Amino acid sequence: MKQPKVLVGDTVNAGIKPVLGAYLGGLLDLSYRDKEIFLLDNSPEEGSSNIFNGIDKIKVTKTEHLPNGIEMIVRDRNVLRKHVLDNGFDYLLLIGYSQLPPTNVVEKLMEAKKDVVSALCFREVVNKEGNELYVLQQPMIAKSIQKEGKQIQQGFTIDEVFPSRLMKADYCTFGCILLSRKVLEKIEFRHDERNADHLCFCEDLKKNKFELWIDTGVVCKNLNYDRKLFL
Amino acid sequence: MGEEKQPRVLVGSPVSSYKKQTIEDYLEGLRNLSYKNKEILLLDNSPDEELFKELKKEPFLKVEKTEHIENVREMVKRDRNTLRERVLNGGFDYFLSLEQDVVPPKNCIETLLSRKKPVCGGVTLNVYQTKKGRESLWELLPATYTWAVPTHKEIGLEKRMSFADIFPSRLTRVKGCGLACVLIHRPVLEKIEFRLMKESPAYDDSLFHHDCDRKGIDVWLDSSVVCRHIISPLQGKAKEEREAEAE
Repeated sequence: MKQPKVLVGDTVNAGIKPVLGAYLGGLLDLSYRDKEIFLLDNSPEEGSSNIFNGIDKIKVTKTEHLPNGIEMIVRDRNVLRKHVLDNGFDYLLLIGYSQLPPTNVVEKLMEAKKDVVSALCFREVVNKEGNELYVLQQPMIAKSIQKEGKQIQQGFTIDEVFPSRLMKADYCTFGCILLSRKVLEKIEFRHDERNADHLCFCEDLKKNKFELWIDTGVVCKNLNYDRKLFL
Repeated sequence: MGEEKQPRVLVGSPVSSYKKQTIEDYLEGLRNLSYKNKEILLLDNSPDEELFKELKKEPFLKVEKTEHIENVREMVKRDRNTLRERVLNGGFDYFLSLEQDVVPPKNCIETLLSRKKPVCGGVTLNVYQTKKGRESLWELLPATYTWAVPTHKEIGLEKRMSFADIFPSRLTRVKGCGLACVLIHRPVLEKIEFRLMKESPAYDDSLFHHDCDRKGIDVWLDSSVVCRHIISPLQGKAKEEREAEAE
């Protein structure tokens, strides 16, 4: 049986140099065969894409740097979307430059047979209570809850995302997410005055009656843990 | 995997009324395990019979009452060796050690079996105090250890692993991962008995991994199998506490 064709990519810039090696290594290590890797470099520096020269398995296109970062990222993600739609891809796997996914991430997320399924990404949170510091790992997924008459986002706790399983959420980031062609045909990336593109995207999923699934057995490493070494 | 060819797995652990608040979630986790060819055996070493009577009502598991003794480490080791004997004498191929405060993924046995390793654990997270001083630093970390000097494993010193060490999800060789959720192949149990050392405060779980290391048995961690650790204070609370808070 023919494997679905997957476009893997996201936007990058010269500022991510401390994690770039690990990020590119993660992309090159992906075990899924029928894929193309496509990065959009929106760095302000001329010649920034030279860093990718010689990596023939990764296609890199330089895009214009804009002063409005979110606008620039949305524009570039829509370039990826168009590339999926115009070139017969079945899925887009967005992998943010701060994330190192499992090598079999495409295969594992496809097993879910969902239109939208994300891996689990974490960020480190430090809380101080009196003389005690707590270093926690916050899952980067959230649910929509009713509080004091308002609909608000509430992050899932570690306790809620494990044991590892396929679970529903209302919001996630674009850290590592597999989107079917069907979804991209209906939804364009966008942002608004209040919300970044991932939040607008999650709202648009609901409006279009798509469910957001998270496979909490597919956990990415946050490369910013390593990046701390450089700061 | 055809059912008739599935390896036979004993799932079990010592249990106690000391951790009664975890029982409801623990039983739900056991009940939800999807693997067919298994038996569940709990050894209740509580000082009273209340928990034992409750567990006896559960049709999907077997429970036996064992004597409560003052020395907890000794008691846990004794019960774990009873489970070991049941594996060896009962014709089981594997022992899944699943402790009382752990809820595993439903397909935990299938996933760990598919790795075909002599000892393969899932991830449990715990809160550790990593630094003392004027301020205490508490950190949520995997209950997993690696070699402090990987180039000279014979030194035997270990260090705790971090999120960055075990993720992205994959199979990794580790020095130890407790016995919270660990699948052990029968030949390993033929070679290793659970034990304590008089001069050491270590529990039988860390000595088990120490013995695996000494006997050249590889211990692996599958970080796609992440369990919920019920009582870890920063991770969340047992179900009844959560419900009480919700009210």
